[in-house]
Amino acid sequence: MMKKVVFTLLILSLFLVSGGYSNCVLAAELTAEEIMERVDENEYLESARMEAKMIIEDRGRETIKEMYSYTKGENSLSEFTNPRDRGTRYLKLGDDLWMYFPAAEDLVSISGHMMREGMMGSDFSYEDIMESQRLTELYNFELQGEEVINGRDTYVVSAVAREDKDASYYQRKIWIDQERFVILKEEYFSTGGRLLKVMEVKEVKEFPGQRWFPVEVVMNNKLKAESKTTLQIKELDFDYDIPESKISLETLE
Amino acid sequence: MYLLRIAFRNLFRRRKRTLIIASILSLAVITFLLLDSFMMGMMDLSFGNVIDFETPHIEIARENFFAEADAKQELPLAETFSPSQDILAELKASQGFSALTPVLDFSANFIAGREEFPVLVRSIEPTTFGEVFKNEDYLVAGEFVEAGDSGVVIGSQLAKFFNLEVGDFYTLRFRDKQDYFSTIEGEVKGIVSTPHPEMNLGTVLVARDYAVKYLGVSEDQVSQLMLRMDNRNIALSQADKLGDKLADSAYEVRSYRDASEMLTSLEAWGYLETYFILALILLVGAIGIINAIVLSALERVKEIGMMKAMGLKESQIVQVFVLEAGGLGVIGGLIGCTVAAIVNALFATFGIDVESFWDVAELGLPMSGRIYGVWNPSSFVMIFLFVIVIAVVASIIPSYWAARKDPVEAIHHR
Repeated sequence: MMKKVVFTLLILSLFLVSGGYSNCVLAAELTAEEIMERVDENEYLESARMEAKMIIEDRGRETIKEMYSYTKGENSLSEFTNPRDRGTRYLKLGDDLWMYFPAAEDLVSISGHMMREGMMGSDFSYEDIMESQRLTELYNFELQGEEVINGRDTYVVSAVAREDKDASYYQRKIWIDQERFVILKEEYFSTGGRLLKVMEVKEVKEFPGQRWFPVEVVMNNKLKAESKTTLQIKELDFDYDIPESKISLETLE
Repeated sequence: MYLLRIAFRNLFRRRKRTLIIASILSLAVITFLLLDSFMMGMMDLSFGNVIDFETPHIEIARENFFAEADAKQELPLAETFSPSQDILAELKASQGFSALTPVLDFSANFIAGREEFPVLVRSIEPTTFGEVFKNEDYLVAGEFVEAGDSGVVIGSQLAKFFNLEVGDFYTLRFRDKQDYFSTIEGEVKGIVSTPHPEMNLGTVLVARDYAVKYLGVSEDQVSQLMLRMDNRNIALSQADKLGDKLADSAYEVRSYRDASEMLTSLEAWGYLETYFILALILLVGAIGIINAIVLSALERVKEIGMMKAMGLKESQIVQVFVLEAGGLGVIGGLIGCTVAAIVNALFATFGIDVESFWDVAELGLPMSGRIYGVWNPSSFVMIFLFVIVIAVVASIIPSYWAARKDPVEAIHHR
């Protein structure tokens, strides 16, 4: 009897050890590239419709902007719906960005120094929203280790821009939820290694198809004092069928 | 001579009328000459400031640099180049060459505290920069840029906008040559207050050897070669010559006038406006002359009849009236030129404060301080002759009308 118990315990412990070991193997076997591919699977929007709210905090003053947007690959159309900016639209077609002001019925191409400015006064610059490719297309990755962020185990991955790719930031440091494969925190660096921005994910939500996506993000511009913008995603429809004509200059006007 | 004497006497028979018509003509002359002087003074000041602080007499860059900068309003780091010894030697051998300095201009956002502002960053070689540009002469606080320095020199308006003083920290954020975000950080080393408002607000000076480390370009790369020549005329002719020489190369040569398209257009519009005002006043003057000739013909109907009865030909009578009008032109022109010369002498000596009647920063003009009048003798000669011609031309038709009067009817005044 005693022998049977010992044998069962041995089998059980072997099973547990081997199970634990296989988990470790799974984690260790995933390369930084594979981790980021899983992230892209979750976070890259092929075709989507989104309703969001942007809370801009500037020296104690809070401004709220509401908008909805349609995204299809590298193209997107966003329209603001809050009373102050109602009807203001942004259209991104590839590398070009336009803005439409309803009051003036005026269409403006955003280029030059305007690209470096914050979108609607936020900490997201126009240049940030122009980077719409998959992260795996723009960067080379290296797994740096593991850390716990907000009680969740994360992979820490450093990203360095691939040559001849249209990346805005030379270097990034990314914390990825080990279970859900979504980015929980990201630091953006200049070529000289200066920390430019920090993005922290406050809330992650599971969408149909076991797809996790960040729904509350805080962007902090580290070059400017007292600067913070929170983006809350209210509604998100993945694989939303967007007609070709929806994201076009004609629609913008 | 006889006809001239009659015409001359007629002018003084109606002194008041002569004076009124001559005054209108002189007003046209004064207005034109003073506007001309003001325009030239304004352009002189503006181009002077462009040359001293923005684009010197001649600048040379890669062809696409200017094209992209004009089209995108951003300075392309991809269009920087390493100047060869041959091109440097050729530029230094140009007639009227005074000095050369390389610069590496790029667009960035100047960030301090919570604010940021788009600026042009001019990376300079401190040893030669002062030979071409005069920014250092207008230093109001701190020190000027030195080689290897992380400190920048900013304009007084930018300092005011950010509430910065010498020693305060700044960050410049920009895209490097590979199009990645990059930054330059350091302390504000000096503040300049130049007569060029744009330089005081939108330009930051940094040492080139320090900036290149963050720009992703090699150490010897520049965006433009800036040349100062002996004077503006030589600059314009040499810019053309250098342009021809480098026509087949990848470089483009621009003079200070090419670089200031807005100013050149403004100059053309300014002159157009001056001539338009001149035309309006002269039109009033011409109507006055027609009126004066008709009135004097009506007054002197009997006299005309008598002159005809005594054998004077129609053409001789026409000559009397035309000479009379010409005399009005001479008097108007003389009064006008004299008064304009006196006023312009004061204007040229004391000048007028631009900011007292214009917000130059808002207009975007490269000038502040005082505008001084400019002497232009050719304008005096031209307007003096022009006003006489106008007076003579305006008098021809009424003179014929007067001369065709029947002598008998004229004597009977019917």
